[in-house]
Amino acid sequence: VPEFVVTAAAAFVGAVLGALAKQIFDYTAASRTQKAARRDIWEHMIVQAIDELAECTCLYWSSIVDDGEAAKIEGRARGIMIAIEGANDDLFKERVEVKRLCDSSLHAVRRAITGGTFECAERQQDLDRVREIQTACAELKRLIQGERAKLPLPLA
Amino acid sequence: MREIDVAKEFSARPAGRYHPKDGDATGQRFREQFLIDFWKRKPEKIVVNLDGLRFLTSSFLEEVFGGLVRQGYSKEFLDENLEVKLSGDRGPIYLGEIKEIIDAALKHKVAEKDRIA
Repeated sequence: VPEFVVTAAAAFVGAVLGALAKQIFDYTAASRTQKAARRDIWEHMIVQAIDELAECTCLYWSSIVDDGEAAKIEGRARGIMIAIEGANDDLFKERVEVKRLCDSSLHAVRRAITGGTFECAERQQDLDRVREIQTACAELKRLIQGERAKLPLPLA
Repeated sequence: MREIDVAKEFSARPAGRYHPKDGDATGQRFREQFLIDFWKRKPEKIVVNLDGLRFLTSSFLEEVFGGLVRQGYSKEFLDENLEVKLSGDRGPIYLGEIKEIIDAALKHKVAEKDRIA
């Protein structure tokens, strides 16, 4: 086989392998970036949801809202808590202990919000509950942000 | 023994305390129609299965389980005749809450008795 053919073949194989390696590298980097971005979105979404939850339920417990407004808040609070639960599961799916801590912290939020006369026809104003909700929501938020910051860089 | 599948036999969305003013799926209705009525006929063990319920409110749980204590059921009777089941990661958290509710209602009852005496 002429030498120039061997050289050309080697160059061709080298180029193909190089291009393949670059593709793999680019894919891996893009995948990592995408995973990190997804975590940011989850975190942002959860924090926003907690703020919304605290706001609407503190209105519910600090004043006597009319029945229509109360029903709206009760439904929204249930929905938000279910959504936070699911988002936490996704964000910390590889961290069982963290997931457990978040469940426990969300449970404290749930107890503060849905205790007393929640979903009752004769609702009463309960300012202790407002304080409890604010504290529990702040603790949940801090826990999620702190644990999110500790997550290792995503692998591709 | 009777096992009650709450989601299928009672409601997939239990809410509120008092029947009928808070709705149809209240804690009072569950306690009276599903637990107390059964115990009046047969003083046997009831297993309350909470699987399949997406969300439980503390007001509903308190009315069911705290209400049993307020209606005169003793710790001994409840230990022997009531079991609550909820599987999944969050099961132990809810079961812990139910235990706390029963303990708090018992404490409150003792305090009331002492106050009257």
